[in-house]
Amino acid sequence: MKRQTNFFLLFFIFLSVFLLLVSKYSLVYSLSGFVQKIILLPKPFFYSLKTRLFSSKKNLSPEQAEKLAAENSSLLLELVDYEILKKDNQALKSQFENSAVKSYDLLPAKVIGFLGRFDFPSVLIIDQGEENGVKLGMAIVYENNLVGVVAKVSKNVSQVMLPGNENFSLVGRTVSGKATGVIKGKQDFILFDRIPITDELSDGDLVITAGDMNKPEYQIASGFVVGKILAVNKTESKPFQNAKIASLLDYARIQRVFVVNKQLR
Amino acid sequence: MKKISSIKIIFLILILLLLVLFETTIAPIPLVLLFSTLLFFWDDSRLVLFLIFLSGLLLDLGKGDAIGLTSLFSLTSVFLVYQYQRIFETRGVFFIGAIMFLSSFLYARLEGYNIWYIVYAVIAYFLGAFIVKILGRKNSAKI
Repeated sequence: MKRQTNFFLLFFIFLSVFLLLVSKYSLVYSLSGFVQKIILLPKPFFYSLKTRLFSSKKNLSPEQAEKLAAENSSLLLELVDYEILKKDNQALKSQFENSAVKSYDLLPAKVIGFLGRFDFPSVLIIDQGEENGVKLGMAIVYENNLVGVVAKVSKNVSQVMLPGNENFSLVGRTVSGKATGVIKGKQDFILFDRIPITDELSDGDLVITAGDMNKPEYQIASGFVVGKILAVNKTESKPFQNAKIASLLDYARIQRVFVVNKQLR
Repeated sequence: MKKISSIKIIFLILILLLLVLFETTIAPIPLVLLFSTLLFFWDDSRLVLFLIFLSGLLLDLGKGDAIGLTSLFSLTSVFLVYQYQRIFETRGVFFIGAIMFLSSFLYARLEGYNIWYIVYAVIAYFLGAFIVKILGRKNSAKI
């Protein structure tokens, strides 16, 4: 009997290793995609329960929270537009440089799960995968805000790495264009790092993506809002300064996002 | 060998499905991994092994991971627990707890779970092990 248990244990372990090795092969991949579709059915309901639970903690109904978030987002969007227009007028630059007028081919996706902290997740799981055209490195946005970057893709599900994730790294700049640096995840917060000490940086500045052209795996266009500067850390003796960024999105409550498939213009 | 009744099997499948859903949506803590080991501790039948394997696959599919990773983790920790039980012919909760802690920690680190949640998970595990121990005593008293 004990021998039998041992045999079956080893059998299932080897089967797991085998599946792990052949998981990307067409037959296993198609079959897993089919099962995945079935598993996905109840997940949006369960995830909405979680967001409801989190909303009630803040004495806001999900509808109220969503309305406030939308209002806040649109106001900040206007602010970004205003800043960009101001900058353009001042510099008399071509409107092709204005990120606000860019349009994208967006793929809507539902958030169906998360990883990391309950109130500050590091990864979101969305219900769109390779079958829908999602690829590694694609940007995930909500309105004009950057939600994250696609870090793992399977047939019908993808994992989105959020800016708070410690593996997240992206070139960013302030909306005024006066400071450029690297946006890094620090688990509990987002850091705007490696900004030359000579660059102008102040609390409340909006940080946007600068567009990483040197990183083909990160196909993120410029102009998406990452967050607002909370506190600047500057020491005159050091060549670089950094700043803590607060995202404008509440990642714990976000339920719908958009995958940026490609830029239309 | 004790045989699990069909009602218990259905009940176990439902619990495992629910845990898979919980772990991939509401609570990213290694629930399935912990429950699997606990389940094996209670009954080391082929059916339980198959359920552990299956729940691992479902969990990977739910998270969009490569299939087989969670099953491999669950079954390896179960394998270690089983070898310990076989060699020392004992059901030491301390050793099982240590294995569980280690596998949960590694799994959580690999999967990007919040490490602090493991503490709660391990507490839950010990609570479960305690319940199993009491149940085991009651069963042997009946015999």
